[in-house]
Amino acid sequence: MTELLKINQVSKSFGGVQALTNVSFSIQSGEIFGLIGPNGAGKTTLFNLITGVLPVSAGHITFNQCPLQNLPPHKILRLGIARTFQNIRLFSGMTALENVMVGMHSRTHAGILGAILRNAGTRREETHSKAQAHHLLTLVGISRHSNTLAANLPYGDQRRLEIARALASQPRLLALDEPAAGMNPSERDSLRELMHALHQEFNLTLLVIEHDVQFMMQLCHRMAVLDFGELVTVDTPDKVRHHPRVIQAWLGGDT
Amino acid sequence: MDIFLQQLINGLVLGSVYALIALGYTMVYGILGLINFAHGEITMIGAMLALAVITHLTGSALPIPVILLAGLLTAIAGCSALGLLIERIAYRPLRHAPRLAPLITAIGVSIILQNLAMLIWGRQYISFPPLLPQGWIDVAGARLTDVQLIILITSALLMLILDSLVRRTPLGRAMRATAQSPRLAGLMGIDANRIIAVTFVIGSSLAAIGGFLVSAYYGLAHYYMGFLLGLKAFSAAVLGGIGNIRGAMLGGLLLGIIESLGAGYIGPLTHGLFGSNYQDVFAFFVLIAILIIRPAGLLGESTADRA
Repeated sequence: MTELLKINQVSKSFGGVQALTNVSFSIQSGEIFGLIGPNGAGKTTLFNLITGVLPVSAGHITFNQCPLQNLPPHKILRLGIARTFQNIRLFSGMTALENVMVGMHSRTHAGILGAILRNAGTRREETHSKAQAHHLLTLVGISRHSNTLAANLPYGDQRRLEIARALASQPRLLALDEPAAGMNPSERDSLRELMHALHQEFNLTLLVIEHDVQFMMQLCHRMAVLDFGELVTVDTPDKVRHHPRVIQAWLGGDT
Repeated sequence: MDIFLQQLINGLVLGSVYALIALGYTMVYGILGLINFAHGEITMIGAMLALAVITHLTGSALPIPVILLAGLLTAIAGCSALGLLIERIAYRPLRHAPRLAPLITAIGVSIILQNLAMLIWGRQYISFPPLLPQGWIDVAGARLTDVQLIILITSALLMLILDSLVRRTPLGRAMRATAQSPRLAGLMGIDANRIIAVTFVIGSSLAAIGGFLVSAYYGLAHYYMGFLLGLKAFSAAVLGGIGNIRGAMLGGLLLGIIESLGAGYIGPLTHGLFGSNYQDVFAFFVLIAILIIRPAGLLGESTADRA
């Protein structure tokens, strides 16, 4: 296994608030890696640093040996990191299919002239994109909704659409921010199956934030625990489960 | 001669030029939420550039269509470059500033362009060299001149191309995505700066073509022509629902027709109290009336969302 994402001594502060302090860990290629911690622990902040939404205050993040500092989000996506959002953020006025095709933007080549002239190459690329988008919608199980406006999709399907859109950029690392939020137990089970299937099919590395510890224990190979912006531990689910500070924070009470 | 039909034709021709220019307003507003008040001046610069080249080449051995095309292409290239430049130096630095700042800047840019044009081309009217076909065809008693026909066909084609570009191509999808949220579009791999630049290029090119067509239609250009033309096109965009591309097309055509019918009928209707020189008043009066009933414009959505 090779190291895919390396977080090295990363800190982030918002004014006087220290959101992350000296966090270091790395994710191996092909791993399903979990990020857990109470509300406000800095999990989403870390996602925002990785995907270039926010600049880091100190430290380094490298992806596949490439430093991500000062890269705009669209370039980081091109390197192979795609994400979903805690609060669903779809292009609500576009259909499910179009949302996925927007996700393909970084992998298509047609420029302004191609768009105006609609030459053979452009049309072929468009046909290919459309087929690919259909395939992804089928994969996440919402192909019947391909022509539905994103805003009109049921909640669970919106989450799935976000995953399909993220996959459309052909990422090596897929970062999912609370993908199971608001789902009932049976929906969670089918989501976990989907994530396992995607991990297999695309040889993906997954980075997952989730509050549901049970869900994460069954899903992840390894996990990092954050608390108040500091890294508590990085280990396998079994070891994390027995870590004194984790027991204290989640399971409540004595070790 | 059928007055109604004649005014309808004139209105359609005028309206299709308004629509071309209105598209630039609406596209930039859709993506940046900015009313680019310099857009009318870009139209004027387009007309001036085209006329300068055409006047220069008139009398040369080149065939007339080549001369006209050279003027048009120069105008398109010049206006695209100008649009890019304005976006880069005047609007981009203010992207995250309060909305009033870029608006005032846009007005400033428009004054600069106007004065620049006055310095380069002078205060006098510049006339279009007599190269254009002078024929006309009879449409049920009304007269459709060759120039009018060219304007109608050109603008209809351009609008069809733009509509399918925005609805059916990757570039169009990227534009719609950026319009909804530049940050989210960035996270999906779209370089929002590039899409915004492309939007300015497309809008400015349409303005250049619009400017060329207007100067061909009226047979002249003037450094101040961008003001009223821009105001009308902006009104057309608002009438159709600003931010909405089909709205701008509809708004342009409607405004042209209203204005033209107003000019034709306002005299008889008021027993000669108001003449056709009140056509602008009439057009804006209708605009206000429609906006009272539908404040978001004809095709605009009434939400606070940007289109």
